[in-house]
Amino acid sequence: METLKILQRIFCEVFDDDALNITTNTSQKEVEEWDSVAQVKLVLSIEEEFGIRFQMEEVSALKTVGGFIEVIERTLEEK
Amino acid sequence: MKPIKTITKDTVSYILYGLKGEDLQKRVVELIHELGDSFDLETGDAIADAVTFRQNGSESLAKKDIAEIKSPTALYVLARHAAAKRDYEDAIEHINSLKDRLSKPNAQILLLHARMLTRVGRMEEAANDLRFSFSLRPPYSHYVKAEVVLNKIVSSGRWAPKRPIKIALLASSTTALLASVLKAICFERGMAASIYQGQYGSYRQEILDPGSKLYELEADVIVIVPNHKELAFAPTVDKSVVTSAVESVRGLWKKIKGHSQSHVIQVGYDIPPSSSWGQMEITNPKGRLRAISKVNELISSDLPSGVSFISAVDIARHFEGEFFLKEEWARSKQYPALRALPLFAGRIAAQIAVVYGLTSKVLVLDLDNTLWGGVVGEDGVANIKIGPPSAEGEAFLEIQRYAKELKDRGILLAVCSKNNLADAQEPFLRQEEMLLKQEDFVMFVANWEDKATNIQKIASTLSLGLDSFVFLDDNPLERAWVRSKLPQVEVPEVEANPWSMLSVLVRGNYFEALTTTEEDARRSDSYLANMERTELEQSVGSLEEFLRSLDMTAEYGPLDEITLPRVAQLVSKTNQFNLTTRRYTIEQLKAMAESDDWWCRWFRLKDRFGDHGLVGVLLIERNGGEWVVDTWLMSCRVLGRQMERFMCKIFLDTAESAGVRVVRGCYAPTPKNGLVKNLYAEMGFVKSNPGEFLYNIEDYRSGDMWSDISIKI
Repeated sequence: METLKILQRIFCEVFDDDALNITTNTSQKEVEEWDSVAQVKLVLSIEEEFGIRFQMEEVSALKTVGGFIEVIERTLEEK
Repeated sequence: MKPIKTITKDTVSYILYGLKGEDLQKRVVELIHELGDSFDLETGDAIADAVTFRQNGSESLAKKDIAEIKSPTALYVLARHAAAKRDYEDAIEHINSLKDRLSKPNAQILLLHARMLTRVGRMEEAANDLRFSFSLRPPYSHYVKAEVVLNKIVSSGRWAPKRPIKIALLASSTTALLASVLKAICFERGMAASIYQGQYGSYRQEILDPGSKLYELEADVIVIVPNHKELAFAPTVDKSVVTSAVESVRGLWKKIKGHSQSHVIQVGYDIPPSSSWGQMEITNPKGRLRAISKVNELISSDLPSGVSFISAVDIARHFEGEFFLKEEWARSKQYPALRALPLFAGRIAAQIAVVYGLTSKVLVLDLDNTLWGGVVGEDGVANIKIGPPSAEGEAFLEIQRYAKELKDRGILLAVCSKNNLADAQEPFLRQEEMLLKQEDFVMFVANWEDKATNIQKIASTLSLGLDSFVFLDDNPLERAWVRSKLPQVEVPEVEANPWSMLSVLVRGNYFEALTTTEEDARRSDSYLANMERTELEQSVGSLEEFLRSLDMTAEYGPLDEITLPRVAQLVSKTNQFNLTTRRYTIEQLKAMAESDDWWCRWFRLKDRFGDHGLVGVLLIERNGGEWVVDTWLMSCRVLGRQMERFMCKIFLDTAESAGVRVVRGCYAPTPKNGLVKNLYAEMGFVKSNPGEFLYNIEDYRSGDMWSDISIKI
């Protein structure tokens, strides 16, 4: 739950949309501007926020908020 | 309230973890209380994230309790909350108050402010905030995050760029992030850039194919960013390989020139991060590093017209072996390293600005603590720090050397200083160490007027646009003032130490040029010849609103053990704001402080830029129904902030309640204190004899003349 709260801010920032309301089920399909450039920005912002480094293969295919949360929490545990 | 350093983003998440409803609200209010006046954005975000989370019902935020705290963190949380609820006017108001509370400009707060302003259509203000945030040289991620806001401002059509620019970015690396940062820095420099990114890894084909998208685009500028990977040099390199690498690059330029009107900006090759042959890669005539340097040297000499060159090696110096990061390259073909993107893009933007004549042409310099250490009017010309043996003095000398070298290649220098003209000129006449001479400046403005007005006059006298001006000043207040009044002027945000000032100035790339001519070297002289250096006569600018935003608070009290040494120092040193310039020893002062015949007070001033310390002294002799102001002095650091009026009000208040009939003030002129010649008259005293002024307490009405003082107790 706490990770979702932080992602909420990051998504609002990256998409510059204060009203964007995400859940674990939010996916690329629902967010119009979620393209490959936005994906790079999301990944970099998340890495910076949590002080972690992803493997490129594991994040480039992520298409839902829930997917991000899973990878973030796994990476944090391994740290 | 004392700030508690142990509250961080992590402790906040830990403390608030799993809390809901009223428990959450209660704990948040406590946390904000505990944080007091200390502020860091990460901690603020952690708190705001917890309470503005939509699923948990942000409605229940204890807004009233938080609003009462009024600390920076409280303001930030309220702003975030308002933003999430799309109450933008409210958010803007909170951020405005927050900005006033911070001692240093914060790039992220400026970005948030810009975001909110775009929501309500205030695009020009948003553009100013965003440009200022970029000029603080934040990490690359800031530029990337700001891109969407920037696009909204540009596409609104309400921000007038100096020039729109079409850039084609061609590289043998991925360019998405470089493009984001480049666009942002172009924006900072007043250019609206649209950037075409070539196909990754196939830029040569694009250049060689006359029918490619690249030429369809008719770009203003084509930027080529290769890296050492593309050379794929072995540890030893034959001369023929070097030659063909050079010819290949020059061949591409020729193709571009044949098919388009675009200007070419060629970035040179970087040096690989590891060299298996060690020093032999340089000492061996065929060594790899030597070969790469040779390639760079050959492509950058004798540049054809319409081609400029940027040295990657020169930029790499700033990143100590971390300019090309193998890890980032392996991950996403990122070059240069993410950390290096702002500087790298900054150099490219500076070259583009050169091509379109958008570089700065005038450097306006403050004097005290900018060109030398110390305050000449106070410390005296013999005691200012310039040159060795003082390390600080050497740093100031470096700034002078940098400015002098700029002047020698055609950049105009001007002085804008709050000083008596005679004091300001003295170091130039009497300090041998000074590298800059008065004739190096096309204008020399030293007076007590506000600097925005002065800079405007300099611009109109020189007939140059304000957007070609850079203003360097160690004083955050002066910078903030000029920035708010003249947003076109570049005002680099520097720390108050000379080394930082120089490196920020250099990093800003304000004064790039393509070539230099003999005429450049004479430009400064010709300006001087055509124009008589005029001392500016100023009208007083209205500063009230600005002063109010400073949150000034003053304290005062009787002299005691703790304050006596500083008071004695001020009494013995202060020359400019000193009505009588009477010097007393510490023993004499102590006797006065203890005597019932005297009313002696020190004054301190604080504002949001910091504590100025003990800056004023009043020594008044009680003579029955008449008080005589024996000594009234103030440090020039706090000039122009109504402090003198505040001091005057305090002693008139006190005199009134003590039943005094009349206050007598004297002005004893010296070569240094012309500044306060009219002070008593300005405060409502009536001249009785030459140098003597009287104030009839009967006429004292505390309300009207003093009501606009923004200093609080």
